Amino acid sequence: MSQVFVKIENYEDIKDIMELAKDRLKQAIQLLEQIAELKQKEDAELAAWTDNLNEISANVEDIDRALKEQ
Amino acid sequence: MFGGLFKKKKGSLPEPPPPPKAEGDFPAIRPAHEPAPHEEPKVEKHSLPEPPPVPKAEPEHHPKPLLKPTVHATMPAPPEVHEKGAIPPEEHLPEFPSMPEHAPIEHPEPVHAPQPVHFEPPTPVHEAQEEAPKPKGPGHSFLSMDEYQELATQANGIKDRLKDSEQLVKELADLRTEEEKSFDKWRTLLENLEKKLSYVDTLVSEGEKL
Repeated sequence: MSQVFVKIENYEDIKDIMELAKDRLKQAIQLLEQIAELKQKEDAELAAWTDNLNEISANVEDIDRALKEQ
Repeated sequence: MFGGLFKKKKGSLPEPPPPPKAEGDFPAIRPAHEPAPHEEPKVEKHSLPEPPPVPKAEPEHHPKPLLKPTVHATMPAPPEVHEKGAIPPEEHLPEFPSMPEHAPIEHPEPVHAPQPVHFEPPTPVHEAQEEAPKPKGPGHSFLSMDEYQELATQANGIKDRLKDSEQLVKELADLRTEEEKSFDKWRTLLENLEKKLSYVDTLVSEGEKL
């Protein structure tokens, strides 16, 4: 079975574009990793904040209860 | 004294001189059949030399043809005309010589209707690469059709992924704005709560003082 070949013009330009796309892809992957790290920190901060709020709400209830008792 | 000298003499004017003959004017009009008197140029008639005497052509002596005329002086008698439907008598015709035996003529195969063309699915790229390596020219690069199809499908897949990622980035941006809005709202609530707690704290401290 005879094979058909396709002529590629501007082969060097295509190679440069492919290298540029690879670099951009690496940058995108690095940025996504940074965003994932920030997201983990944000989640940790939010969890700590939630704990603080729970403590605050417990304190508020204690105060409210003490006031009602008096 | 001079009275008679400067007096114009009436009625004794001299006649004007005749006009000079104009040269180069058109000739006088004359009838068509009358030849112009001075227009015909004089042609010197030279006597031409007499031509050399032409040799007299001697009658050629044609030899008598050796062939005899094929047409006979007397026409042969016409064939007898038979009546309609009557079978002419068989004539004894000379038999043709037997033809030399040749190889039998090969008849071409009958033309059938064109069969439908079946396209085979493209072979995988690695097989194509194993079968035929890429020809490398001095200034041109060629790619096999299978590899080109594979590349085209991959490029289309990358385009689709890029569109999906763009859509995901938009959704993330929307989520980010919603998150910031809720964060600001939460901050205002906390500030209000802090103010109220400080107020309660001041009230409690005042009650303890009393």
